[in-house]
Amino acid sequence: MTAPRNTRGTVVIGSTESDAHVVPIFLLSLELENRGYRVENLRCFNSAQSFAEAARALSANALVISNHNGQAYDDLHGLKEALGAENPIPVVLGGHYYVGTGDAADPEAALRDRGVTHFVSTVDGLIDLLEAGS
Amino acid sequence: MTAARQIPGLVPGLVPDLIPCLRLAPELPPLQDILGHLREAARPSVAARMMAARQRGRAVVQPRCGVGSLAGMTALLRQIEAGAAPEVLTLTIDSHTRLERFARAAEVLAQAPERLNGFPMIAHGYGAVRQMAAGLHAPLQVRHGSFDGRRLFAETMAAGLSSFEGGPIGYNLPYCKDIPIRRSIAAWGEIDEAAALLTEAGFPVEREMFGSLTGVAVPPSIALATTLLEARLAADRGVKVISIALPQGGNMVQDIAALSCIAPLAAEFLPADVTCHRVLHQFMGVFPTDRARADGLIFTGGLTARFAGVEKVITKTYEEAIGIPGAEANIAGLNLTKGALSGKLCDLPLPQDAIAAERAQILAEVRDLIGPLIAAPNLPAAIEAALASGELDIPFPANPVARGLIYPVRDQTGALRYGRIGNLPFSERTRATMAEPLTDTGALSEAVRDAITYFSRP
Repeated sequence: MTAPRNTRGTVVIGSTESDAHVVPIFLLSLELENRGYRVENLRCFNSAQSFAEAARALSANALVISNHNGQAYDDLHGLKEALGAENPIPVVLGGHYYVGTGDAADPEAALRDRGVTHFVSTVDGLIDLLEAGS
Repeated sequence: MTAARQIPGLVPGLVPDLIPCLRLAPELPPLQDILGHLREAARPSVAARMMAARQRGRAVVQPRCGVGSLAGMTALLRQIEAGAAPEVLTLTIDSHTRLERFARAAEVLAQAPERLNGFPMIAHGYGAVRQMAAGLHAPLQVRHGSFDGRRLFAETMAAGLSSFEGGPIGYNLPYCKDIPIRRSIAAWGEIDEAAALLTEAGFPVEREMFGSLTGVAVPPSIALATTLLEARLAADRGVKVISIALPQGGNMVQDIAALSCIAPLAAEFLPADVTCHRVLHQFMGVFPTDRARADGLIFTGGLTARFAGVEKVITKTYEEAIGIPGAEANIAGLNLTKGALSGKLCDLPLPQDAIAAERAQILAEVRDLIGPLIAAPNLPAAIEAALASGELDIPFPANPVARGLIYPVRDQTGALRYGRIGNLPFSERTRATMAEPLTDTGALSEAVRDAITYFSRP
């Protein structure tokens, strides 16, 4: 069901620094707008610093990061530091964010060290997560 | 006397360090050497293959292929040539080279060439490519995706290759971020000047414009508008052989109609001395994972090309959904397409009324999109302004220089329509015959997703 526009807060979305997959971000943008969120679509090739700057500038309720090339760990270097400890917000990662089994025994633990707080595998999972926090 | 001054008709006073593209690569041989190689090699050009296709009324076929090592690339091309004899072959360039990370391409080539997703032509050098080309029957086209392909085109010239894909819109908006369109237009203008220079010297360079854009559900009028604008920019720099490439959308009536628009639009918007060819890219979107349905899509792409009478088909493979295809899959895709092009397997009467109606709609949309731009006194500035306002736009642009306000959907027949037209400047008359845009964001979101996964869903 469509919710009134821009009533549920602001979500910053985009893909990581080396990831060219832009179509999922546009699709997600539509889904979130439909649920009433104001979406700042940064599209693709975003550095950790640019994610943090956009989230801070817009007082975002959540930062949603897409990665489909398996390079999320490298690409998100410095994200935790760039976000800082003040005013923590959910940092949600989705897509195919690590390659195969990866070098780390627990790739999600490594990504948590980068500043990711939640992992989602579906749009509905993301919506549930955002709505639980709003 | 410079090499350039010996060529009749060239700009007087052209000196080596001003020769378009070659000026960026002093390590490459001078123009005179390049022209000497082209004369000695006497290889068939892609332009000649395209013209032959037009004259015999049957499309040529071309695979997509590129691997890192020279031995691997040579073996792949020879295998494909032995297995399917395509009239044009491809060097697909790796991502590092596309993004001008030439040193990184060379490093990876030295350490682990299997990690490259294409052929690092600059790292290998023109001499290696000349040798490789000499062992092949078919001419090579360079396909890449670089917003600034000048250095790569210099290597292409030095290697003696006669065809180069891309343009400042199709190789910018889907592939990069924060690269101003004026930068791409300036860079590609230099490439087109260099192509014109070789053409004037007697070695026609074919320039193919990439209408497939992001590859995902591109409405035909957007693919036509962007490629025709690029074609006009190239023609204004002196290019004489241009191919307009459109992606197979999947509805055969619409695809045939779209391809049939190329010739009248070229006649309307390009100079009379430009030869304009028609190219079909087999389906560029999300492919089915199972071979039977993938082959079905490839075969219907071949039939579409036959019914539309195009000059070239660039083929896909049953491995499209899995990864970069090998020789066997490429050979299968080429031969399946050749079967469809042969006319022996399917020759039904076409629904001409439906094609004519679709064609009239597409022509009206394209004229609304590009007519005012081409009439403007400064085409590059007009394109830049239109992108900024959204009057020129593409679906899902990576680069924010395009607004990304338009969304594709499919109607009940699978034809691509506009679910949202953003700020595209369609006239009232054109809008009157278009499908109603979807105002409900939820319905739009679902329809866009369905359009993208149309052929990959069970």
